[in-house]
Amino acid sequence: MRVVDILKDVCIASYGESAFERRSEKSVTELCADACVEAIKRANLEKKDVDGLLAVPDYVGPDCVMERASKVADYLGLRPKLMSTMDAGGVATYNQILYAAFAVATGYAKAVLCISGGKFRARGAPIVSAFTHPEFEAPYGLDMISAYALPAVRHMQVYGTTEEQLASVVVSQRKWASKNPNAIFWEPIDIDDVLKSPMVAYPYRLLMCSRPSDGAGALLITSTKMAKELGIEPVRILGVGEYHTHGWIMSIPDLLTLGSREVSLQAYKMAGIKPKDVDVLYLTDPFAFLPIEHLEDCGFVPKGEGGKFFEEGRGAPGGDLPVNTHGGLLCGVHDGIGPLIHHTIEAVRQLRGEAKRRQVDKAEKAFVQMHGGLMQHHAALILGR
Amino acid sequence: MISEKYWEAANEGKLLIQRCKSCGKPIFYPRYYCPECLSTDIEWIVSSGKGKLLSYTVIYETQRTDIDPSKMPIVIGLVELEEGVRLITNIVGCKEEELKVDSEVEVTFEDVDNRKLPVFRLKGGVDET
Repeated sequence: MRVVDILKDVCIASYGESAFERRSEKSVTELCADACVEAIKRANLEKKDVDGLLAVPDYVGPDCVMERASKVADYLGLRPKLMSTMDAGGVATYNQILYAAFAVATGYAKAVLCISGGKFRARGAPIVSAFTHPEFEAPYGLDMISAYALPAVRHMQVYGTTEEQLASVVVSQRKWASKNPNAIFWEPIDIDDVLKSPMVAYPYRLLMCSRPSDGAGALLITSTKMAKELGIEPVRILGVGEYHTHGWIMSIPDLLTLGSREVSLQAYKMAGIKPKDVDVLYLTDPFAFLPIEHLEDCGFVPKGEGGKFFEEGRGAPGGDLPVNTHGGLLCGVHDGIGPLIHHTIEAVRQLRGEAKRRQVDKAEKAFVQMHGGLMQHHAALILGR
Repeated sequence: MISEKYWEAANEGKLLIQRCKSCGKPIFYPRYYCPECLSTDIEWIVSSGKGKLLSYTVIYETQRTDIDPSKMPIVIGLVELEEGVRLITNIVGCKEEELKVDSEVEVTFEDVDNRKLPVFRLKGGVDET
Protein backbone atom coordinates (compact mmCIF):
# COMPACT_ATOMS: atom_id res chain seq x y z
CA MET A 1 0.00 0.00 0.00
CA ARG A 2 1.44 3.35 -1.05
CA VAL A 3 0.87 6.63 0.80
CA VAL A 4 -0.02 8.39 -2.45
CA ASP A 5 -2.85 5.89 -3.04
CA ILE A 6 -4.20 6.26 0.50
CA LEU A 7 -4.29 10.04 0.11
CA LYS A 8 -6.29 9.85 -3.12
CA ASP A 9 -9.53 9.16 -1.26
CA VAL A 10 -8.94 11.81 1.41
CA CYS A 11 -9.27 15.59 1.34
CA ILE A 12 -9.19 18.81 3.28
CA ALA A 13 -12.91 19.54 3.40
CA SER A 14 -13.12 22.68 5.49
CA TYR A 15 -11.31 25.26 7.59
CA GLY A 16 -11.93 27.91 10.20
CA GLU A 17 -9.99 30.65 11.96
CA SER A 18 -10.51 32.76 15.07
CA ALA A 19 -9.90 36.50 15.08
CA PHE A 20 -6.16 37.26 15.31
CA GLU A 21 -5.09 39.75 17.96
CA ARG A 22 -1.89 40.70 19.78
CA ARG A 23 -3.77 40.10 23.04
CA SER A 24 -7.16 38.44 22.95
CA GLU A 25 -9.67 38.50 25.81
CA LYS A 26 -10.57 34.91 24.97
CA SER A 27 -8.84 31.83 26.36
CA VAL A 28 -6.96 29.51 24.00
CA THR A 29 -9.74 26.92 24.25
CA GLU A 30 -12.29 29.62 23.34
CA LEU A 31 -10.19 30.70 20.35
CA CYS A 32 -9.91 27.05 19.25
CA ALA A 33 -13.68 26.70 19.61
CA ASP A 34 -14.21 29.69 17.29
CA ALA A 35 -12.05 28.03 14.63
CA CYS A 36 -13.74 24.62 15.06
CA VAL A 37 -17.28 25.96 14.85
CA GLU A 38 -16.44 27.92 11.69
CA ALA A 39 -14.92 24.78 10.12
CA ILE A 40 -17.94 22.63 11.06
CA LYS A 41 -20.43 25.20 9.71
CA ARG A 42 -18.50 25.77 6.49
CA ALA A 43 -18.67 22.02 5.82
CA ASN A 44 -22.46 21.89 6.42
CA LEU A 45 -21.58 19.24 8.96
CA GLU A 46 -23.40 18.37 12.15
CA LYS A 47 -21.39 18.38 15.33
CA LYS A 48 -22.15 14.70 15.98
CA ASP A 49 -20.43 13.83 12.67
CA VAL A 50 -17.05 15.00 13.99
CA ASP A 51 -15.45 11.82 15.32
CA GLY A 52 -11.83 12.89 15.53
CA LEU A 53 -10.05 15.83 17.15
CA LEU A 54 -6.31 16.54 17.07
CA ALA A 55 -4.79 19.56 18.82
CA VAL A 56 -1.36 20.98 19.73
CA PRO A 57 -0.03 21.60 23.24
CA ASP A 58 0.74 25.06 24.61
CA TYR A 59 3.83 25.56 26.75
CA VAL A 60 4.69 29.13 25.82
CA GLY A 61 1.61 31.09 26.85
CA PRO A 62 -0.25 32.40 29.90
CA ASP A 63 -3.00 29.82 29.33
CA CYS A 64 -0.86 26.67 29.13
CA VAL A 65 -2.55 23.34 28.67
CA MET A 66 -0.28 20.54 27.53
CA GLU A 67 -3.21 18.37 26.52
CA ARG A 68 -5.45 20.77 24.66
CA ALA A 69 -7.60 18.38 22.60
CA SER A 70 -9.85 17.16 25.41
CA LYS A 71 -10.36 20.70 26.69
CA VAL A 72 -11.66 21.86 23.31
CA ALA A 73 -13.79 18.72 22.97
CA ASP A 74 -15.22 19.27 26.46
CA TYR A 75 -15.98 22.92 25.66
CA LEU A 76 -17.84 22.00 22.47
CA GLY A 77 -19.53 18.92 23.90
CA LEU A 78 -17.70 16.53 21.59
CA ARG A 79 -16.99 12.91 22.49
CA PRO A 80 -14.90 11.82 19.52
CA LYS A 81 -13.57 8.37 18.83
CA LEU A 82 -10.10 9.62 17.90
CA MET A 83 -8.24 12.23 19.94
CA SER A 84 -4.67 13.34 20.59
CA THR A 85 -2.53 16.40 21.25
CA MET A 86 0.48 16.30 18.94
CA ASP A 87 3.72 18.26 18.81
CA ALA A 88 6.60 18.67 16.40
CA GLY A 89 6.61 22.46 16.60
CA GLY A 90 5.23 23.97 13.41
CA VAL A 91 5.22 20.54 11.78
CA ALA A 92 2.43 19.51 14.20
CA THR A 93 -0.06 20.67 11.57
CA TYR A 94 1.47 18.20 9.13
CA ASN A 95 1.45 15.42 11.75
CA GLN A 96 -2.24 16.09 12.39
CA ILE A 97 -3.21 16.13 8.72
CA LEU A 98 -1.35 12.90 8.00
CA TYR A 99 -2.75 11.08 11.05
CA ALA A 100 -6.24 12.29 10.20
CA ALA A 101 -5.83 11.27 6.56
CA PHE A 102 -4.65 7.76 7.50
CA ALA A 103 -7.57 7.40 9.95
CA VAL A 104 -10.13 8.55 7.37
CA ALA A 105 -8.64 6.40 4.59
CA THR A 106 -8.84 3.26 6.71
CA GLY A 107 -12.32 4.03 8.00
CA TYR A 108 -11.05 4.43 11.57
CA ALA A 109 -12.66 7.89 11.66
CA LYS A 110 -14.84 9.87 9.26
CA ALA A 111 -14.39 13.57 10.01
CA VAL A 112 -11.32 14.72 11.90
CA LEU A 113 -10.78 18.28 13.11
CA CYS A 114 -7.11 19.34 13.25
CA ILE A 115 -6.75 22.41 15.44
CA SER A 116 -4.01 24.70 16.61
CA GLY A 117 -4.23 27.76 18.77
CA GLY A 118 -2.34 29.68 21.37
CA LYS A 119 -1.57 32.86 23.16
CA PHE A 120 2.09 32.90 22.26
CA ARG A 121 4.47 34.70 24.62
CA ALA A 122 8.11 34.48 23.61
CA ARG A 123 9.67 35.76 26.83
CA GLY A 124 10.69 33.96 29.96
CA ALA A 125 11.60 30.54 31.26
CA PRO A 126 9.38 28.10 29.28
CA ILE A 127 10.70 29.24 25.95
CA VAL A 128 14.31 28.86 27.13
CA SER A 129 13.87 25.35 28.50
CA ALA A 130 11.96 24.19 25.42
CA PHE A 131 14.50 25.37 22.90
CA THR A 132 17.98 25.53 24.45
CA HIS A 133 20.06 22.74 25.96
CA PRO A 134 20.10 23.54 29.69
CA GLU A 135 23.75 22.64 30.27
CA PHE A 136 25.53 23.34 26.98
CA GLU A 137 23.55 26.13 25.27
CA ALA A 138 21.53 28.07 27.85
CA PRO A 139 24.59 29.27 29.86
CA TYR A 140 25.80 31.18 26.79
CA GLY A 141 22.64 33.28 26.54
CA LEU A 142 21.21 31.52 23.48
CA ASP A 143 17.56 32.31 22.80
CA MET A 144 15.23 31.60 19.88
CA ILE A 145 16.10 34.69 17.85
CA SER A 146 19.85 34.16 18.17
CA ALA A 147 19.51 30.49 17.14
CA TYR A 148 17.55 31.55 14.07
CA ALA A 149 20.19 34.18 13.27
CA LEU A 150 22.93 31.55 12.77
CA PRO A 151 21.87 30.29 9.29
CA ALA A 152 21.13 33.88 8.24
CA VAL A 153 24.60 35.23 9.05
CA ARG A 154 26.35 32.34 7.32
CA HIS A 155 24.13 32.69 4.24
CA MET A 156 24.76 36.44 4.09
CA GLN A 157 28.54 36.02 4.22
CA VAL A 158 28.76 33.01 1.89
CA TYR A 159 26.22 34.12 -0.76
CA GLY A 160 26.14 37.89 -0.28
CA THR A 161 22.52 38.00 0.90
CA THR A 162 21.87 41.51 2.22
CA GLU A 163 19.94 43.13 5.07
CA GLU A 164 17.87 44.93 2.40
CA GLN A 165 16.88 41.54 0.95
CA LEU A 166 15.80 40.33 4.39
CA ALA A 167 13.75 43.52 4.74
CA SER A 168 12.17 42.90 1.33
CA VAL A 169 10.70 39.63 2.63
CA VAL A 170 8.85 41.60 5.31
CA VAL A 171 7.73 44.28 2.83
CA SER A 172 6.42 41.58 0.47
CA GLN A 173 4.38 39.91 3.21
CA ARG A 174 3.05 43.23 4.50
CA LYS A 175 1.66 43.88 1.02
CA TRP A 176 -0.22 40.61 1.21
CA ALA A 177 -1.28 41.26 4.84
CA SER A 178 -2.81 44.59 3.79
CA LYS A 179 -5.31 42.53 1.77
CA ASN A 180 -6.14 40.26 4.73
CA PRO A 181 -8.62 41.83 7.18
CA ASN A 182 -7.58 39.35 9.89
CA ALA A 183 -3.81 40.05 9.65
CA ILE A 184 -2.36 41.76 12.71
CA PHE A 185 0.39 43.75 10.97
CA TRP A 186 -1.18 45.10 7.79
CA GLU A 187 0.01 48.72 7.60
CA PRO A 188 2.20 49.20 4.50
CA ILE A 189 5.90 49.64 5.24
CA ASP A 190 9.03 50.05 3.13
CA ILE A 191 12.58 48.70 3.31
CA ASP A 192 13.75 51.75 5.27
CA ASP A 193 11.11 51.25 7.95
CA VAL A 194 12.37 47.71 8.48
CA LEU A 195 16.04 48.72 8.48
CA LYS A 196 15.39 51.55 10.95
CA SER A 197 13.65 49.30 13.48
CA PRO A 198 15.83 48.37 16.49
CA MET A 199 18.37 45.55 16.17
CA VAL A 200 17.36 42.56 18.31
CA ALA A 201 19.97 39.96 17.29
CA TYR A 202 22.07 40.58 14.19
CA PRO A 203 20.85 40.54 11.43
CA TYR A 204 17.31 40.57 12.80
CA ARG A 205 15.70 43.91 13.49
CA LEU A 206 12.38 44.06 15.31
CA LEU A 207 10.29 44.19 12.12
CA MET A 208 12.13 41.12 10.77
CA CYS A 209 10.77 39.06 13.69
CA SER A 210 7.30 37.51 13.83
CA ARG A 211 5.46 38.88 16.84
CA PRO A 212 3.90 36.49 19.34
CA SER A 213 0.15 36.88 19.31
CA ASP A 214 -3.20 35.16 19.90
CA GLY A 215 -5.32 33.08 17.54
CA ALA A 216 -6.43 29.64 16.41
CA GLY A 217 -7.14 27.68 13.26
CA ALA A 218 -8.90 24.45 12.31
CA LEU A 219 -8.85 22.11 9.33
CA LEU A 220 -11.36 19.34 8.69
CA ILE A 221 -10.21 16.10 7.06
CA THR A 222 -12.81 13.77 5.49
CA SER A 223 -12.99 11.31 2.63
CA THR A 224 -13.37 12.86 -0.82
CA LYS A 225 -16.65 10.99 -1.11
CA MET A 226 -18.04 12.54 2.07
CA ALA A 227 -16.93 16.03 1.01
CA LYS A 228 -18.72 15.67 -2.32
CA GLU A 229 -21.88 14.48 -0.52
CA LEU A 230 -21.69 17.64 1.61
CA GLY A 231 -21.43 19.75 -1.53
CA ILE A 232 -17.81 20.73 -0.88
CA GLU A 233 -15.09 21.13 -3.47
CA PRO A 234 -12.37 18.91 -1.96
CA VAL A 235 -8.77 20.04 -1.71
CA ARG A 236 -6.58 17.03 -2.26
CA ILE A 237 -3.23 16.12 -0.77
CA LEU A 238 -1.06 15.34 -3.81
CA GLY A 239 2.33 14.98 -2.19
CA VAL A 240 3.87 14.82 1.28
CA GLY A 241 7.37 14.80 2.74
CA GLU A 242 8.80 14.65 6.25
CA TYR A 243 12.27 14.68 7.83
CA HIS A 244 13.68 15.49 11.28
CA THR A 245 17.31 16.55 11.61
CA HIS A 246 18.28 17.44 15.19
CA GLY A 247 17.08 18.29 18.69
CA TRP A 248 19.36 21.19 19.70
CA ILE A 249 20.65 23.92 17.42
CA MET A 250 24.29 22.90 18.12
CA SER A 251 23.49 19.64 16.27
CA ILE A 252 22.05 21.23 13.13
CA PRO A 253 23.72 19.29 10.27
CA ASP A 254 23.96 22.14 7.76
CA LEU A 255 23.23 25.85 8.14
CA LEU A 256 23.02 26.43 4.40
CA THR A 257 20.71 23.54 3.43
CA LEU A 258 17.89 22.77 5.81
CA GLY A 259 15.67 19.68 5.92
CA SER A 260 13.28 21.50 3.62
CA ARG A 261 15.45 20.29 0.73
CA GLU A 262 14.79 16.61 1.56
CA VAL A 263 11.05 17.04 2.24
CA SER A 264 10.47 19.00 -0.95
CA LEU A 265 12.13 16.25 -3.01
CA GLN A 266 9.87 13.65 -1.36
CA ALA A 267 6.74 15.72 -2.01
CA TYR A 268 7.58 16.58 -5.66
CA LYS A 269 8.27 12.91 -6.37
CA MET A 270 4.97 11.76 -4.87
CA ALA A 271 2.93 14.49 -6.58
CA GLY A 272 4.78 14.04 -9.88
CA ILE A 273 5.28 17.77 -10.26
CA LYS A 274 8.19 20.23 -10.39
CA PRO A 275 8.67 23.61 -8.67
CA LYS A 276 7.59 25.41 -11.86
CA ASP A 277 4.14 23.76 -11.55
CA VAL A 278 3.44 25.46 -8.20
CA ASP A 279 1.00 28.42 -8.30
CA VAL A 280 1.04 29.58 -4.68
CA LEU A 281 3.79 29.02 -2.13
CA TYR A 282 3.78 28.96 1.67
CA LEU A 283 7.13 29.18 3.47
CA THR A 284 7.84 29.09 7.20
CA ASP A 285 8.75 32.60 8.27
CA PRO A 286 9.34 33.11 12.01
CA PHE A 287 12.16 35.49 11.01
CA ALA A 288 12.78 37.30 7.72
CA PHE A 289 15.68 35.13 6.55
CA LEU A 290 13.91 31.78 6.66
CA PRO A 291 11.73 32.18 3.52
CA ILE A 292 14.92 32.92 1.56
CA GLU A 293 16.59 29.67 2.57
CA HIS A 294 13.42 27.56 2.21
CA LEU A 295 12.72 29.02 -1.24
CA GLU A 296 16.17 27.83 -2.35
CA ASP A 297 15.98 24.47 -0.57
CA CYS A 298 12.59 23.71 -2.15
CA GLY A 299 14.11 24.27 -5.59
CA PHE A 300 12.30 27.46 -6.64
CA VAL A 301 15.55 29.38 -7.19
CA PRO A 302 19.22 28.31 -7.24
CA LYS A 303 21.18 28.35 -3.97
CA GLY A 304 22.09 31.88 -2.99
CA GLU A 305 19.42 33.59 -5.09
CA GLY A 306 16.56 33.60 -2.59
CA GLY A 307 17.22 37.16 -1.46
CA LYS A 308 17.13 38.46 -5.03
CA PHE A 309 13.73 36.76 -5.57
CA PHE A 310 12.13 38.79 -2.79
CA GLU A 311 14.05 41.97 -3.64
CA GLU A 312 12.55 41.81 -7.15
CA GLY A 313 9.05 41.45 -5.67
CA ARG A 314 8.50 38.03 -7.23
CA GLY A 315 6.69 36.73 -4.09
CA ALA A 316 4.61 39.89 -3.57
CA PRO A 317 1.18 40.73 -5.05
CA GLY A 318 1.63 40.83 -8.83
CA GLY A 319 4.77 38.67 -8.65
CA ASP A 320 5.21 35.45 -10.61
CA LEU A 321 5.16 33.17 -7.52
CA PRO A 322 3.00 34.54 -4.69
CA VAL A 323 4.48 33.67 -1.26
CA ASN A 324 2.57 33.69 2.06
CA THR A 325 -0.49 35.43 0.62
CA HIS A 326 -2.09 35.85 4.08
CA GLY A 327 0.90 37.70 5.51
CA GLY A 328 2.55 34.66 7.12
CA LEU A 329 3.90 34.52 10.65
CA LEU A 330 5.70 37.82 10.12
CA CYS A 331 2.56 39.87 9.43
CA GLY A 332 -0.50 37.62 9.74
CA VAL A 333 -0.30 35.85 13.08
CA HIS A 334 2.16 33.75 15.11
CA ASP A 335 -0.08 32.17 17.70
CA GLY A 336 2.00 29.46 19.33
CA ILE A 337 3.25 25.96 18.72
CA GLY A 338 1.29 25.16 15.53
CA PRO A 339 0.88 28.46 13.64
CA LEU A 340 1.51 26.89 10.22
CA ILE A 341 -2.10 25.77 10.27
CA HIS A 342 -2.77 29.29 9.00
CA HIS A 343 -0.38 28.80 6.05
CA THR A 344 -2.24 25.58 5.23
CA ILE A 345 -5.67 27.20 5.62
CA GLU A 346 -4.64 30.02 3.28
CA ALA A 347 -3.42 27.49 0.70
CA VAL A 348 -6.83 25.77 0.88
CA ARG A 349 -8.58 29.13 0.55
CA GLN A 350 -6.54 30.02 -2.54
CA LEU A 351 -7.20 26.63 -4.17
CA ARG A 352 -10.93 27.00 -3.55
CA GLY A 353 -10.97 30.55 -4.92
CA GLU A 354 -12.09 31.97 -1.56
CA ALA A 355 -9.20 34.37 -0.87
CA LYS A 356 -11.13 37.47 -1.94
CA ARG A 357 -8.90 40.55 -2.44
CA ARG A 358 -5.77 38.46 -2.37
CA GLN A 359 -6.99 35.66 -4.63
CA VAL A 360 -4.27 34.45 -7.00
CA ASP A 361 -5.40 33.72 -10.58
CA LYS A 362 -5.49 30.06 -11.59
CA ALA A 363 -4.30 28.77 -8.21
CA GLU A 364 -4.38 25.03 -8.83
CA LYS A 365 -1.33 23.74 -7.00
CA ALA A 366 -0.13 24.97 -3.62
CA PHE A 367 3.14 24.06 -1.93
CA VAL A 368 3.22 24.34 1.86
CA GLN A 369 6.72 24.07 3.35
CA MET A 370 6.83 23.65 7.12
CA HIS A 371 9.53 23.64 9.73
CA GLY A 372 9.21 23.36 13.49
CA GLY A 373 11.21 24.08 16.63
CA LEU A 374 14.65 25.46 15.85
CA MET A 375 14.54 24.15 12.26
CA GLN A 376 14.69 20.50 13.38
CA HIS A 377 11.29 19.32 12.11
CA HIS A 378 10.58 19.54 8.39
CA ALA A 379 7.58 18.72 6.24
CA ALA A 380 6.05 19.59 2.88
CA LEU A 381 2.51 19.34 1.55
CA ILE A 382 1.52 19.71 -2.07
CA LEU A 383 -2.19 20.48 -2.28
CA GLY A 384 -4.38 20.68 -5.35
CA ARG A 385 -7.95 20.90 -6.56
CA MET B 1 26.16 13.04 36.05
CA ILE B 2 28.03 12.21 32.89
CA SER B 3 29.06 15.82 32.27
CA GLU B 4 30.83 16.15 35.64
CA LYS B 5 34.22 15.35 34.07
CA TYR B 6 33.64 18.01 31.41
CA TRP B 7 33.12 20.76 33.99
CA GLU B 8 35.97 19.53 36.23
CA ALA B 9 38.33 19.69 33.25
CA ALA B 10 37.02 23.13 32.26
CA ASN B 11 37.92 24.37 35.75
CA GLU B 12 41.48 23.20 35.00
CA GLY B 13 41.51 25.01 31.65
CA LYS B 14 40.93 21.94 29.50
CA LEU B 15 38.18 21.38 26.93
CA LEU B 16 37.03 17.76 26.95
CA ILE B 17 34.97 16.01 24.32
CA GLN B 18 34.12 12.34 23.95
CA ARG B 19 35.17 9.80 21.35
CA CYS B 20 33.59 6.45 20.59
CA LYS B 21 36.23 3.72 21.00
CA SER B 22 34.19 1.42 18.81
CA CYS B 23 33.68 3.55 15.67
CA GLY B 24 35.94 6.51 16.33
CA LYS B 25 33.21 9.17 16.13
CA PRO B 26 33.87 12.34 18.14
CA ILE B 27 30.90 13.23 20.38
CA PHE B 28 29.56 16.44 21.90
CA TYR B 29 27.53 17.03 24.16
CA PRO B 30 28.47 14.21 26.60
CA ARG B 31 26.47 11.01 26.17
CA TYR B 32 26.31 7.42 27.41
CA TYR B 33 25.71 6.16 23.86
CA CYS B 34 27.59 6.88 20.66
CA PRO B 35 25.06 8.60 18.34
CA GLU B 36 26.74 6.86 15.38
CA CYS B 37 26.86 3.20 16.47
CA LEU B 38 25.14 3.17 19.92
CA SER B 39 28.26 1.73 21.54
CA THR B 40 28.75 2.55 25.22
CA ASP B 41 32.53 2.20 24.90
CA ILE B 42 33.23 5.92 25.00
CA GLU B 43 36.37 7.77 26.13
CA TRP B 44 37.09 11.36 27.06
CA ILE B 45 39.73 13.18 25.00
CA VAL B 46 41.23 16.64 25.40
CA SER B 47 40.28 18.84 22.45
CA SER B 48 42.93 21.01 20.85
CA GLY B 49 40.52 23.86 21.57
CA LYS B 50 40.98 25.07 18.00
CA GLY B 51 38.15 25.36 15.55
CA LYS B 52 36.25 27.31 12.96
CA LEU B 53 33.43 29.82 13.48
CA LEU B 54 30.56 28.43 11.38
CA SER B 55 28.30 31.31 12.24
CA TYR B 56 27.54 33.86 14.91
CA THR B 57 25.09 36.52 16.00
CA VAL B 58 25.19 39.47 18.35
CA ILE B 59 22.26 39.68 20.78
CA TYR B 60 21.22 43.24 21.67
CA GLU B 61 17.90 42.45 23.28
CA THR B 62 17.15 39.03 24.67
CA GLN B 63 13.86 37.19 25.07
CA ARG B 64 15.27 35.66 28.22
CA THR B 65 14.28 37.01 31.60
CA ASP B 66 17.07 35.13 33.43
CA ILE B 67 19.85 37.24 31.90
CA ASP B 68 20.86 40.67 33.17
CA PRO B 69 20.16 43.11 30.29
CA SER B 70 23.35 45.01 31.19
CA LYS B 71 25.31 42.00 29.84
CA MET B 72 24.17 42.83 26.28
CA PRO B 73 25.45 42.71 23.65
CA ILE B 74 26.37 39.01 23.79
CA VAL B 75 28.13 37.29 20.87
CA ILE B 76 26.82 33.77 20.27
CA GLY B 77 28.93 31.49 18.08
CA LEU B 78 28.45 28.08 16.51
CA VAL B 79 31.96 26.59 16.49
CA GLU B 80 33.18 23.43 14.80
CA LEU B 81 36.20 22.03 16.61
CA GLU B 82 39.13 20.48 14.71
CA GLU B 83 38.01 17.11 16.04
CA GLY B 84 34.70 17.50 14.15
CA VAL B 85 32.10 18.31 16.82
CA ARG B 86 30.06 21.49 17.01
CA LEU B 87 29.16 23.59 20.00
CA ILE B 88 27.30 26.74 20.96
CA THR B 89 29.52 29.22 22.75
CA ASN B 90 30.35 32.89 23.22
CA ILE B 91 32.98 34.70 21.18
CA VAL B 92 34.85 37.11 23.46
CA GLY B 93 37.48 39.81 23.19
CA CYS B 94 36.66 41.18 19.75
CA LYS B 95 34.62 43.88 18.07
CA GLU B 96 31.49 42.97 16.11
CA GLU B 97 33.03 44.12 12.83
CA GLU B 98 35.98 41.73 13.31
CA LEU B 99 33.67 38.70 13.28
CA LYS B 100 33.55 36.69 10.10
CA VAL B 101 32.24 33.21 9.36
CA ASP B 102 34.95 30.56 8.94
CA SER B 103 37.35 32.56 11.13
CA GLU B 104 39.75 30.45 13.15
CA VAL B 105 38.91 30.49 16.84
CA GLU B 106 40.45 29.03 19.98
CA VAL B 107 39.11 28.19 23.40
CA THR B 108 39.57 30.29 26.48
CA PHE B 109 37.80 30.11 29.83
CA GLU B 110 35.65 32.66 31.61
CA ASP B 111 34.62 32.73 35.27
CA VAL B 112 30.84 32.46 35.39
CA ASP B 113 28.85 31.46 38.50
CA ASN B 114 31.90 30.11 40.34
CA ARG B 115 33.02 27.89 37.51
CA LYS B 116 35.00 28.16 34.28
CA LEU B 117 32.87 28.34 31.17
CA PRO B 118 34.59 27.42 27.87
CA VAL B 119 34.26 30.34 25.44
CA PHE B 120 36.20 31.19 22.28
CA ARG B 121 38.18 34.10 20.89
CA LEU B 122 39.39 34.86 17.39
CA LYS B 123 42.82 33.28 16.82
CA GLY B 124 45.45 35.90 17.48
CA GLY B 125 42.85 38.04 19.27
CA VAL B 126 43.24 39.67 22.65
CA ASP B 127 42.71 37.48 25.68
CA GLU B 128 40.71 39.56 28.13
CA THR B 129 40.16 36.78 30.64
